[in-house]
Amino acid sequence: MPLLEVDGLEVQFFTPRGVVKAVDGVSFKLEKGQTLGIVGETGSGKSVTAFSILRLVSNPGRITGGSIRFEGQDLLTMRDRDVRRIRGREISMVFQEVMTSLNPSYTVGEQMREVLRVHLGQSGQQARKSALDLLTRVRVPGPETILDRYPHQLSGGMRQRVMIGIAIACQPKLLIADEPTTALDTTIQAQILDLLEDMRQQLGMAMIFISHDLGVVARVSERIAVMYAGRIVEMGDKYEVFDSSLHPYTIGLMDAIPRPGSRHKPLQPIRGAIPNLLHLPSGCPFHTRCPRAEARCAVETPELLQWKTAHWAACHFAGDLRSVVAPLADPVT
Amino acid sequence: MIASYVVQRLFQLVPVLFLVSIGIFLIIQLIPGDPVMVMLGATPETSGNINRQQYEELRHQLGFDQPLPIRYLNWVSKVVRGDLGMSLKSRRPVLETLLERYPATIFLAITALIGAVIVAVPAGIIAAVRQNTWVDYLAMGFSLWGVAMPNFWLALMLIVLFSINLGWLPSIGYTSPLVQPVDFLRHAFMPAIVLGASTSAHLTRYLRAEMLEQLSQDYVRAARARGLPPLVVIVKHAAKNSLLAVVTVVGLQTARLLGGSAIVETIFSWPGVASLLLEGIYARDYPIVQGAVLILALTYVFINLVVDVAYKFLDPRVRLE
Repeated sequence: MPLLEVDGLEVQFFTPRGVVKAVDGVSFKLEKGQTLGIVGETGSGKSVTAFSILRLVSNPGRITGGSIRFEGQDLLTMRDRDVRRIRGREISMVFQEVMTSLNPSYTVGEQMREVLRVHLGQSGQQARKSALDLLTRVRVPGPETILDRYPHQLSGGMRQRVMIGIAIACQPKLLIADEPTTALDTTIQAQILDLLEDMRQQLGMAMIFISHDLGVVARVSERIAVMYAGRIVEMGDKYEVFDSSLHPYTIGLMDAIPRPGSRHKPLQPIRGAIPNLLHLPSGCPFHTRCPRAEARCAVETPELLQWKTAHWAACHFAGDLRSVVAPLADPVT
Repeated sequence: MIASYVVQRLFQLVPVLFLVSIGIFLIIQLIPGDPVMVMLGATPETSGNINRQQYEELRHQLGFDQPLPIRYLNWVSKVVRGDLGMSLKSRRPVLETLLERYPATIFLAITALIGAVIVAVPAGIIAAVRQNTWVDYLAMGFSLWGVAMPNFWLALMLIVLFSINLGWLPSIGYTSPLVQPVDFLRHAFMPAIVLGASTSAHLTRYLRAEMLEQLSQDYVRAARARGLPPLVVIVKHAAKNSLLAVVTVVGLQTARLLGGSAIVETIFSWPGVASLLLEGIYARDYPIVQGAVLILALTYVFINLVVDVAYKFLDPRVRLE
């Protein structure tokens, strides 16, 4: 039984201007201890997918279809009380908003002890000791002093360490990291990524790592899912997805990244812009920007199909894509 | 830390008190016509009948023959020593009269404020949490009513209901809460409602808006993601930060409470400073007017000092500019 099984997830936002399909039929599986990286542009539905797993999609958004099974139990039909027992204990989350995800009015220690109290029933000296252990574990210097500090007295990197500390407090089975390094300096980014990877290995957690940054995702994930306009358009083993991309969108993303040794090859931006989610194009949502698009792409929506052992893609031409756009997709290495 | 903050805030009060004292001092100076004439009870038509010698004597006695800045300094140096002059009407020291009537005003304002907070805090929080449901509409409807209601009308309606029709509560009078707390509450019930209604309505609206703001913050989402129970997320996390904004409003609302007490004290024959102020105005008893305005202004300034210190306690981020 997989640890997490998302099947046909649909999330819609009921805005005054119309219904936005933020997530449209997303399915994936995650085994114990595995890492899945979700890549996509802003608005591709990657964060909404993550929030759906904890059932934290807020108004005007609503999960309108599909199922999310965690250790075989459907999180979407579960009672609120039972979901709360899973949040922060079995499944934890680390957020992009490092500056604002801790309550400014409480000390770091209080916000750590709170989780230990609610989920593990710890209090007093015991909770304090656990909090100290956690801070040491996430390599916060001088944990005793940090415990009594308020969030505004800490740097962004330090706050993210504290947040990771809170997230692993109950040794969860799954850690969802939603752009955990985006708001940080590059040097701090690397440290946080290393820390996340170490924690994952020490605790044997599975991890869903969400980022718009292909390089960051590649660094921490074994498997990659590429999202576009609320759908997974390509998914598979990291090397498969990066080195032999099957979907024109992924190929476009790869060509937009500067790489060592590719100085003479101009960067190729993907033409056009992300479609308005209120009025998605018919058929394949990418067809308006796709160099490979044909008439059927505007009519038929391609399904996410398996093309190789560990490689799925949602493109009508995934089978013959590589030969057609070979010049663009030439592996740089 | 807090102590040094309080000391610094006290120093900041100096310019405020300076401006307040100038304002109060000028009340007398700005009376149209000759204040000495006014004090002698003469109208422009009867001014010819005033005894010249009596006039000059009073003028000298009151120091009006000296330049304005000198008069101000004389006045301030007396006020600082607790000498607010004599009432023109009762010929008693103003300070004595003020101290007699001050507690009634303060007890009423505190009762009204406590009542307002007791109603507004849960109402504001629940309205925000249940936004756009009937609970929210009910709370907002009531608070709109509370803001829009003229307090003299509300006072009359309450008297008609509780004193005349039901006969439950006395419509006038006052006993000190320190002597007879229950009797005080019976007397203070209606005046406190009238005085606190619009404050409560304002607080409810502020708190609701602030709660909505806080509930959409990242730390609230993060707290929910940690599996904290809804009550903890709402009360411990969101409400604590919302109350910060509301504490500031409470300070500003004291102006409303003190100002509103002029009408309320008059209607309910409540022997406070605000009704004393009105009596002073009717009687052209300017030392009383000055004294009453001074004590109300000091109260306002002091309460806002307390609020700022409370703010400091609640929000660790507040630092002196």
